[in-house]
Amino acid sequence: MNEYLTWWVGGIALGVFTILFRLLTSRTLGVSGSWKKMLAWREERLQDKTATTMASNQGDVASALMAETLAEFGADVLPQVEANVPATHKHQKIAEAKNIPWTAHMVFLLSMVLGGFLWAMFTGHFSIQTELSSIYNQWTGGGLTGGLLLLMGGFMVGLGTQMAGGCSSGHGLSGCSNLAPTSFAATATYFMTAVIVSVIIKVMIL
Amino acid sequence: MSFKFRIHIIYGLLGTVMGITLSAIGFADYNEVFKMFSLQDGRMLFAFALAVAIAAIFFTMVHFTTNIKLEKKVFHQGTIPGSIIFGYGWALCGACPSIVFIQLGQGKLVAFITLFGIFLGVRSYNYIHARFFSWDTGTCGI
Repeated sequence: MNEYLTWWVGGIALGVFTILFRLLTSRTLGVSGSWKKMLAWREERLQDKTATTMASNQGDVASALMAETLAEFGADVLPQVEANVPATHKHQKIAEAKNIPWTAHMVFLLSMVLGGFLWAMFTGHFSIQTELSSIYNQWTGGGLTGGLLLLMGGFMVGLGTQMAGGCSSGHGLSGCSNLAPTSFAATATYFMTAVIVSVIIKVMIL
Repeated sequence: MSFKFRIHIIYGLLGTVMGITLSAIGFADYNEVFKMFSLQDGRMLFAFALAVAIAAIFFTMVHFTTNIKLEKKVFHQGTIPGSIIFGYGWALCGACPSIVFIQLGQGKLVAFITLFGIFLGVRSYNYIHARFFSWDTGTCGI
């Protein structure tokens, strides 16, 4: 029972980690977002290419926009636009995209394998296992059923987190700590669903 | 150091620290996750809530004292149904999108099946979303 951290030590560690992530990356922690970015590498390459092309052809882009504006609204709107654009927005250049590249998201996800390995090595938990856990085998019977349920569960996790726009880190840790109502709703929903499913498993099968 | 190089190092370090932290709390152990969800053991739930509380205090303080503001999350038609599907799946396989990698690191080879499942899930949702839904999922605020 004492192999894992006491609740408050674990809580402090995880809370500090959430803050650290935000400070070091200027972004909120979100693992399902990293999944999305990693699997959308083709789209990202296309976007980067477009952004670079546009940034290196500032004059052409400006002329094209001007031509479209004239064709759509006529020359009469130009003085009006001129009067309404704040001074800070004039002569603004198109910036090259400075997003987190998908490879960094991949490094983030894969380095968790290293993290899990390091912890297991130093605490003596590391062993090559072909079974998930004793309780899992108890209710699924392990074997083929266990494998199929893992595949189905994983599929639901992947699909659900993308549909909900966040997972236990994105909605749970980041969203809730940023006091976002959406995240409270999402976190309450997935926790309650998981509790209902697990209690049913415990009562009906175990 | 270029921005690109630096960000890879930072993400790699953060991922490693996250793997160690979540392992040490027990989130990668199906037995512990099941005990949490079947309300037999509140340890991890309390740890999670405390983490949120600590981060919330920090982010709120930062919000009022600097120009770094609280993040907003988009609520759309998929938020609640997606969360239900996710919660159901998490209860079945005991892994959320980060935990599956940590399980692999601890030597649990069956996590490859879960990993493949998540891969299929993310892939098919992206397809379904582009094909049928027009709502905006600002996933994980990136």
